[in-house]
Amino acid sequence: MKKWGLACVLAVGCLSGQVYAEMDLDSRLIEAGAADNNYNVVNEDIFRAYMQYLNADMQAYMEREGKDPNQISFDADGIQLNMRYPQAMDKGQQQSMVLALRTDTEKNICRLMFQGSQVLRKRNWGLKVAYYDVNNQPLTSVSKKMQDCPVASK
Amino acid sequence: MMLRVNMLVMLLAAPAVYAADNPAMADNISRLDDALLQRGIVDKNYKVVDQYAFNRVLAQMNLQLQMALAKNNRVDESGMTMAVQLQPAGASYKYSIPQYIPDSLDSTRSESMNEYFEYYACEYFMPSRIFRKLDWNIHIEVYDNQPQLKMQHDFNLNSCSTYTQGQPSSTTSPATGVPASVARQPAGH
Repeated sequence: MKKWGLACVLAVGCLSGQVYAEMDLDSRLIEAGAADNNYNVVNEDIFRAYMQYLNADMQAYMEREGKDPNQISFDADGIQLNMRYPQAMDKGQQQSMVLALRTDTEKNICRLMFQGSQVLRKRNWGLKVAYYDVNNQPLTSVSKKMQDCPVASK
Repeated sequence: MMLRVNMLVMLLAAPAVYAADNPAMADNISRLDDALLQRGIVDKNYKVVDQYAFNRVLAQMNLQLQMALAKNNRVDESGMTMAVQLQPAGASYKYSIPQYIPDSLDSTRSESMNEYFEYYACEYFMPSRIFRKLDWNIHIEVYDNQPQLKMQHDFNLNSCSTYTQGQPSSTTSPATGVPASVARQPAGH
């Protein structure tokens, strides 16, 4: 149970790292005219269009790979991940699953978010992870804003 | 565990998608149909067969459009500004006129404004058979200098045929009567 929770967090971490580092998101936003050299969003329309473009790009990729494109979505305000636990569980298992997910995710989420881009940090971008059971029933969800994270967790 | 593997594989492979296959096909709307046909995103009847790839192209076009508008074509001689967003279901325009517009717009002026904005949206998107096939909806909002929403107008791209015969009766900006350029899309983008 706990391992699966960590796996989800790992995936979130990889995603953040991937998006922020591999794409050099800050440079691209500055080049596009969405942000200035101080990492402030200076053109809301370009910023939104850029995030819309990232979202479409990621979803097209997932579709092409035969994955559910609804697992990840971006917009100007944050990123949403929809994770589905692939096995049926009884009520007791579900409760401990929810607890493990929340604990693991909350413990790691600030650290992961601080790997991120300066522009998104200034923007107070959000991350929401929603967990579903095998029948797509919601189990739990965790939301964080970058500015919710203590500086010490950097 | 399978989920973790899948996610990681997906994430590791993702940069290749970002870096490659990034053609500037949206630089001219009239070339869009051929480009999408060649890439198999639409079939020979110009019907979208790869929705996610189409959404990706549209998002790319939208980004180019925002960048072009920010650079040079956002304001016309009369001070009227335009914003436009492309979505899979259609395009949404927002015009801001630097003058007060009374609540009781007379019907002649209202119709003339509708016709004016509609003409330029039609002129830009009509060349694409794909957008017509998609039954694209165009939404137009006009704000005055308060700023208050003074006019909303929705129409379907397939109703544009009446506008292909020539210029609208007025090609001057509804703001001041100065010949306007802002309603036109940025050339070359």
